[in-house]
Amino acid sequence: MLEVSDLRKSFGALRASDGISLEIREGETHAIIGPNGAGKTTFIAQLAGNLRPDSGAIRFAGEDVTRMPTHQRARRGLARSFQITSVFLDFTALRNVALAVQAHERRVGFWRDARKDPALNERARQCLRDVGLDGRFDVPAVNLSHGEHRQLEMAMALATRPRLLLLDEPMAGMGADESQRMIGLLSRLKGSHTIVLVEHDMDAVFRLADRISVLVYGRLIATDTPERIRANEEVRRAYLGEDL
Amino acid sequence: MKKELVFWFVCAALLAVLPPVMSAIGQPYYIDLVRRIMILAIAAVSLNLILGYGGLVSFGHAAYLGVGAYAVGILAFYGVTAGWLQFAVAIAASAVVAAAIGSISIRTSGIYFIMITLAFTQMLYYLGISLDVFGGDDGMRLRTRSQFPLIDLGDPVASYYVALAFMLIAVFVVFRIVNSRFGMALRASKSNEARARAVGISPYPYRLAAFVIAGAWCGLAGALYANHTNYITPGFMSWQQSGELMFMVILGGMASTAGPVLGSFALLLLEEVLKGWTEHWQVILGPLLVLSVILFRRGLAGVFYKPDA
Repeated sequence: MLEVSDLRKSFGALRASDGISLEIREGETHAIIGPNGAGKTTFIAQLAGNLRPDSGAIRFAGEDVTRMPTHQRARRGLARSFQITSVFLDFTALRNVALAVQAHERRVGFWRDARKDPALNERARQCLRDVGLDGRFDVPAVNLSHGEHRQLEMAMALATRPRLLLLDEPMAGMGADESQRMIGLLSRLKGSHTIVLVEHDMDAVFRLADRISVLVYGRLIATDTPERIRANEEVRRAYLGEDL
Repeated sequence: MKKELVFWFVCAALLAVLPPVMSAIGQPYYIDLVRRIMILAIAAVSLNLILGYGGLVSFGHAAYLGVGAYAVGILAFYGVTAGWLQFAVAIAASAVVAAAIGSISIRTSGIYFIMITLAFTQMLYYLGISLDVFGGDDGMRLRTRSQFPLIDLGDPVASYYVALAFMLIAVFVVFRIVNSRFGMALRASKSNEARARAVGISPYPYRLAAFVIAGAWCGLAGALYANHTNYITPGFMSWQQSGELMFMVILGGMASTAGPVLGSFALLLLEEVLKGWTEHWQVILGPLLVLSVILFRRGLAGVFYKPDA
């Protein structure tokens, strides 16, 4: 599904991606963990197309997307959520998701009222229900809680019928209740979607992931099943003092 | 929504009865004044599409007012007086100029976008000054107004109703556009560009299309304006004119349906009143405008009703 080979990206002397090679298999949930500053966000940004790698290649669904702009990757089925909440604050929840549906359909009209477009609204409502935001359709996004924003982002990602979900810390800044709800949502999506999950919440990672890659100083030191990662000496050293 | 319809119905009715009332009380001057306001309101409505809904702070929108006016003036100069042809050329020429300016300037953003749109318009302004055949700095008189069957644009009342009709159509067209799929993508790109890209929307083509539509409508306003003033000067394309259009939109309320129309009326009527009091009217107008921006965060339209989500 997604193949990364020898990806390199430096900022000055800092090697944020130092030869990352990784294959994401269709249908798996693949977590990427690592201490702060390991280069996880840089890695995700290159996958999504927000950053250009210095060298290396990214292939998505059999196509080289290394130099493809973000919106074209999105149209090919690469959907992402952002570490810092990113929604259309002046739209309602429903319009946020309807826009993602519209972007996926790639039909543009200049005259018909998009707010009364049943094709957009039905699918958007369905996605909002899927993430547990029923009853919040017409609330302006600016008035939603932090947890609801993250759910909204998931709904927007799902609305584009993605082949790969790229989730950058979906649990960041959430309370315990909200985290549990998000884990519930992700375990429902798991299996029917291929997911790349960057997350600090180890509880969530070990419950959800089929495989885990550990990123330290821009290098992948291990890629394996959760049980073996938990037992891996090198990983334990990287997470010195932290309980895996 | 219902409230808004009532508002427009009342506006249209008031404006429709103005000419007979003014003629009856012997004040035909106000027919001319309001006609001018409505023509500039068309330009402001078109600017609102890109400035209010698209977030493109164009400081050169007067360019299309000038291109539209000169298209009519130059055709008339060479003896082409057929109105439909003149207006079609005015709209097409403005759209082409907007496409050229837009395709380059929309690649920039922020302060660079403001400066580059201003620079292009200044270029056109100086082009107008350098065209000696068409009067250069002094401009030129429109020898005959645009000729239409049934409608005589030389008749102050008839041309008033033409301006009113076009203003209402412009408001309706922009209203439809900004609520269409196209408009949603345009507004989303303004709201959060990174997000728009992440769901698969490239803002550039939407912005460029909006820029061209706005330019074309402003070109139509320019064609009407040439017929209104009967005289065309490079001043139509001055940066002051661009600034005035921006101010109408901001004062009236960006990204609102009624904003640019309210802004045009408020600004130009205020100007008119103050001019009657003192020749140093700008000294009073300036502070009043500053106050209004501080007091009405959402513009005058925000006072009447909340903008739709």
